[in-house]
Amino acid sequence: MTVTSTRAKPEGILPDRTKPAAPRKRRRNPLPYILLLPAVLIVLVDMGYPLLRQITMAFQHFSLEQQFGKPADFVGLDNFTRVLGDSAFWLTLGRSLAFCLVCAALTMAIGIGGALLLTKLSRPVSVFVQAAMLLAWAMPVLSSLQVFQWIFDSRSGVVDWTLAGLGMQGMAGYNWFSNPLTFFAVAAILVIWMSVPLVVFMVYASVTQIDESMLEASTLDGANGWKQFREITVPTIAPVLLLVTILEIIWDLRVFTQIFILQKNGGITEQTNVLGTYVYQVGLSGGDYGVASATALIMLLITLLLTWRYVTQFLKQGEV
Amino acid sequence: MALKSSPVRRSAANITGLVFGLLWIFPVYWLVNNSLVTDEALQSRTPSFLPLDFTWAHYETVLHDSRFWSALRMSFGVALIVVVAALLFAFFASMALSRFRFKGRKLIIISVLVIQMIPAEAMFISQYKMIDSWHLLNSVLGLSLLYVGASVPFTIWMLKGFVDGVPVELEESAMIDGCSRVGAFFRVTFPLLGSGLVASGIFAFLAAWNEYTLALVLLSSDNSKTLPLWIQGFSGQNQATDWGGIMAGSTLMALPVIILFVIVQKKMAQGLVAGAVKG
Amino acid sequence: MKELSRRGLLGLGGALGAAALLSACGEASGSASSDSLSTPAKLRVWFMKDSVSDKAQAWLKQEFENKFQGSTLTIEQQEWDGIVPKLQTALASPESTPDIIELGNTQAPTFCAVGALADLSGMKEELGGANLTKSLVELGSFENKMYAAPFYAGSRIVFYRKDMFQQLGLAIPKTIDELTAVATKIQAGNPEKNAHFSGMFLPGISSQSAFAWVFSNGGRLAVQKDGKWEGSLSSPESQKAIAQLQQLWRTGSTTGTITDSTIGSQPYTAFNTGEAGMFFGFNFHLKKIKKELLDAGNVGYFNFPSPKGDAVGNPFAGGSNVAISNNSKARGLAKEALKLIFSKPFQEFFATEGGWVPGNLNYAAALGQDELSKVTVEAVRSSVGTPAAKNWALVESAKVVDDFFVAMGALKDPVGLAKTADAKMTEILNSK
Repeated sequence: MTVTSTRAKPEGILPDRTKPAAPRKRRRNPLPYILLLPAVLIVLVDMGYPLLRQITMAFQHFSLEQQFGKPADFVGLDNFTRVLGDSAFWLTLGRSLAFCLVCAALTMAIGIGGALLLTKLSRPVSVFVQAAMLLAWAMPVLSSLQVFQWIFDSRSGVVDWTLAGLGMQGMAGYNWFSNPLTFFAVAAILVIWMSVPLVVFMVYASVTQIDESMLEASTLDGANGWKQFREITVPTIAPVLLLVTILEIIWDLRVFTQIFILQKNGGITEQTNVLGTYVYQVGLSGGDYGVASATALIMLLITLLLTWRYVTQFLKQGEV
Repeated sequence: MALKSSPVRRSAANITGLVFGLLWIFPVYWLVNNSLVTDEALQSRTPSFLPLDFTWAHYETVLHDSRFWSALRMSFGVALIVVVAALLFAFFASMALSRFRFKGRKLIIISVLVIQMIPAEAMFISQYKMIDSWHLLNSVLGLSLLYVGASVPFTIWMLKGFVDGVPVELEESAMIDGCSRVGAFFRVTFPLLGSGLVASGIFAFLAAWNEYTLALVLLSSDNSKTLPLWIQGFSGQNQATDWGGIMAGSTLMALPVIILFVIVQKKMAQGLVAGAVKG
Repeated sequence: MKELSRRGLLGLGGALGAAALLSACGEASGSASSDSLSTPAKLRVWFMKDSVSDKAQAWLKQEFENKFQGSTLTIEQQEWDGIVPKLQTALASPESTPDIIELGNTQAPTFCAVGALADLSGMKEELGGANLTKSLVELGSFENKMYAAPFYAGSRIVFYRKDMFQQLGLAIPKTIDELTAVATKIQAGNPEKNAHFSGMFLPGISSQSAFAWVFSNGGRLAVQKDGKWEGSLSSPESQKAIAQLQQLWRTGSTTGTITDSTIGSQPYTAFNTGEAGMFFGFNFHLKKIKKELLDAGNVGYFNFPSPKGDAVGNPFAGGSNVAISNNSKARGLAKEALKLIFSKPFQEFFATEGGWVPGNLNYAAALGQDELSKVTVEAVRSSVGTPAAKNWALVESAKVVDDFFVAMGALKDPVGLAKTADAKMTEILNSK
């Protein structure tokens, strides 16, 4: 894990280096705007119109007839009151939040644990674990979905077979997808399995940059493993942890494809919906774009509320 | 006594590591294993842990399927455009964000983050309409256009961390040597971003390679399906699901990514941390 | 390298800018549909996967292109997965709408009502008139105009193991209660001592199979009263049917909890592995049954029974409709292609290739004169469709009915859940 020597220092948490010389930049310089143009333009092109339209539709009665040309009426906050008055929405929201928090927390815990473990392993085992992580990370979502459905299949699935073999006779032919709780258990295992490698790699990479001498010094001072972890490791890798946590929360709250595909495998749709599939069901397949757009806006708001604390903290830390 | 080096501790760690690795590699193994056994073994109620009833038949079926090849071409084309365009745009943007203090900078940085939180599912019909009005439905370009926009914010964010890591003095000395500012970006900074470009490129690649729902809505003609759509197409309505084919197809879909990962693995690992540490 | 990337960037940026400028992002101009037959066109046809055989596709393409020199006809196969969103977006686009589309019959009423399809009333006689499958005409019509013509139909029949029936001394059931009794006896008898044996393979996820119980008892999923739709799973008839179903799932079938839709659509799999004494499937599933079973003469079939045993029961009317997109720019030629679809050769392909009953029942004879075809046509004739309500597709995509039957398969409370499902259906069906 050595870093190209041409770069000053890899960690970049040392604040002194990159601070741009302030006075020169105060002058109005068109260059940064020009540099930003392509990126801003493509994002605006891709999302500007759809987002504007989504905001408009959130205040309109917009269903299939409107999609086929009938003029749309503005209905004020109707769509929002309908969403907020729908118990299915609140259940879905609760489910999504719970799913997101469980997945994010477990992913972080396992990821950090895995990374610390990596530092303690002998070389061949470490290589094996890293290879496993790499393979799991490289697996396309759709491929993973197929194999997880097969692993948990009620007929030929290896999980049921193993559990039954271990003496849990009731598990032979157990249908994991028909009960909302086990449905989400499988979904969570899949999501965690897919996201842990990234956390492991990022945390491991930053843990290995902790100054060995600091650890040695603290060992001499009589610090035990936990104390070392708290006082040296955590502060050093905090920026990485913060970033990964934000990403995990965003990603897990937006989870769509995994649930969407697993739902086809059965399960009572209404009891297995998360926010993403709920929006899809109301909008794209249910044809009520007004309500779907309103739901999406509410969902955005919730994500913002949920991550805002971390985001501001992160911005401060990154001294942007 | 330093516990750290105790052999008991070490072997306990090794065993835990082994179990951890096995758990994570198992689904990958299971996929490959099941793609290599006969239908009878696959359908049996007793799983076979080794491909003893070995057959290449599923791979032969898939490799002779013209739809697989067209999906592969489509997915590769889209992923390539997305990676190149997203990296370039993000490189420029991260130069701006890292090297300059200007009005609206904070807004841009916050937008980069917030954009990633917007639920995509409600924008699909508008995006369809847009792509349709440009006559780009069912085309590599149309799909890439949307994917680039979706992956640029994250790419900017990652790349900015690396740009921050390159001392501005290097550019300045190049400028003294007669380089323009932008010239210095390209001659000096760009080559130093190796691992950063790889790490952020990987993310853009994965996003494009994996995307399913937008492709489902946007692509309708037979020869414009991407790999995820092709895989999903295996489970037909009234036809027996070809599980062997699905497993072989899923393996083939994962293979390019795995190869790519193995090639760039070193750079990627370096890249991840440096990009993350610096916002 | 550096030079190259800069130029590449300029090129891309330029293209994007141009694209952004070109786009007005507004509604496209009104459809300038041409009914003329002389202007050549490139017709695009969407058929669903596995519904039209390769042979029939090739025939249609060739006939059409021979007849209308200069025009082409391209068939694009669509997956059932995600077809509703696709139709919603594509049919609304004057630029890229397919000209001819196959619609699942349960989705047809919705697209008829929202103005997505061209009026076909004028050519109804030409397509088959009174010979068109009635239930499908009903689903393809809105306010007395036909927008989607019957494409093909299919209804489930019961397949059974003759040898097991014989061994246990069982006769073909004449009533629904007898069907339950027979299933219970086979399951208890389990002649082959199969560890995963089920008297009848009937997964909870296959709600369309379960409809047969509801319809045969005179129940409906939803009914129209004074112009308003009402969910009808709580009606005494439907409740009676659900009680019968749950009895079957308690004693005569172990498969109620199966929720994997792919397993659900392949009921013959359990039959082939000796894990089921009966299954409820389509006539063409016969071809999927294991050769050994067929050769030994162990496979029989019969029509779904009625409650009293006096007639054939009423299974769900499966099938598709076919329509022309209202946004099609070549409606004239599309209508000509539709005529080809309703001509004898193409209609007979449904029977000879797919085993479906053609939309024009005049050609059903092509299925053959054997017992299987006789039983199948009988089933289709007495079949009942889902409610011809404008919003039925929305009920479907909200999975109200599917979720209900999955819960029934898991032996959950029929009364309370029926009430909830009815309320939900009533709300969706009457919403604007």
